[in-house]
Amino acid sequence: MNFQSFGVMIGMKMAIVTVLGGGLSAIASMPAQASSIAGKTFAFHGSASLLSETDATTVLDFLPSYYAPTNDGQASVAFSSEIGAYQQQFMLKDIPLVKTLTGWSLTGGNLAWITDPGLVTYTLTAFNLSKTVTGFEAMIDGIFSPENLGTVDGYFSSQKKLATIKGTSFSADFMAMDKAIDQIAVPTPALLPGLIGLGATIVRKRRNHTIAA
Amino acid sequence: MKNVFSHVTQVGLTIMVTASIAGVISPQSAQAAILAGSQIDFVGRAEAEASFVDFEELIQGFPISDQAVFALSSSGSFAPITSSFLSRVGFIQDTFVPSSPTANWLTFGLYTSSSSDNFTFNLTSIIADVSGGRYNLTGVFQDGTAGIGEITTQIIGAGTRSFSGTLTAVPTPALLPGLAGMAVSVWRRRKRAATPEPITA
Repeated sequence: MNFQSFGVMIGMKMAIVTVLGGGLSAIASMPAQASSIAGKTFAFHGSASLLSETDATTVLDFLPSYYAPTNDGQASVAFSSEIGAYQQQFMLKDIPLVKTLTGWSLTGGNLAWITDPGLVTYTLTAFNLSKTVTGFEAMIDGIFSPENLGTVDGYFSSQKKLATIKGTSFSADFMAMDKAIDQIAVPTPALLPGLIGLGATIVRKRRNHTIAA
Repeated sequence: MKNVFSHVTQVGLTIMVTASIAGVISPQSAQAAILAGSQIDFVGRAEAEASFVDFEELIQGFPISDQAVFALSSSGSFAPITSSFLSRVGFIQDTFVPSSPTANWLTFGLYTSSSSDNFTFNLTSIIADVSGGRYNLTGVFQDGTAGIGEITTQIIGAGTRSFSGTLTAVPTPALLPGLAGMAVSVWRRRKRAATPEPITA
């Protein structure tokens, strides 16, 4: 039985190596795909603390992450994200908040929340936090650059313990959209049949021209 | 002769009783009781609906294909859970909302050889708030310590979302009636002591 569980352990460790290897190669191929985030989901998690529930101004403090226990504000791309690689790490800036009638809102203007050249740059334009029966929820709005894409249905959620110094875990999901067309952008592969059709037409026209001459 | 026999029987019984007590206690005494206030924070992926939560894999086929959670931080008795990458991986069962009590609903330590990171949470109730996708949890850890917590996720329509969750150990409610009873009896005794004895002629 010990041998069996040992075998399983080795199997799992190999799986980790494979997965991590896959993650690294995905990171390496990221810049080439930099123009393809339109319509994709950005999902991540980390640890955070809402420093005060009563003060007129407070801060949503992002805490050290599990891979960088001493690196304050480190978050991780969640396992399912379409933007970023498996467990890719990046920094989140703490969010300054002002108390409102319904909760808390981003104060001090737009915030360069995520500035990771290897992943994505995201400028926060709105972060409206409110208290729920189970904890806290926030609506996220902002701009992905350099593509200048807006956000579709951006949400952050956490548990009651967010309002403690020790904090707790949170998760966030949002989608990049194309503000110019005011809807989720059509992925580039959809353009390919059109281009092929155009190419075929040109070839046909040329051939007709050659035959005529 | 009879005495010797009964004595032997007595010794045998004592051994049996001791053995059975040890058998009952030792799985728990191998680990100290879970300290109240101990906290475990975890994340994962789920399709969260008002009446059902479908927990998903963290990543395809790793290290368990489905129903996985990953511990981000821990404190108190739960500290060993975040001691290694594998000890952070837990197993969580899909559940209806509200649920009937579910044994071993959330388990840590299944994928490590150490026993110090073995923790089991038996779910007593999971209740969605009005909109679903966010749930209040109550239950009991393996040593009888009560636990409360929440799971929250993003409510942006159907589909798999990332979620985060917290469980906190709280003083066992079962002990409270006992403590209350003790307080009442102490109070009664004091009252009796304060009342002068009736003088009988």
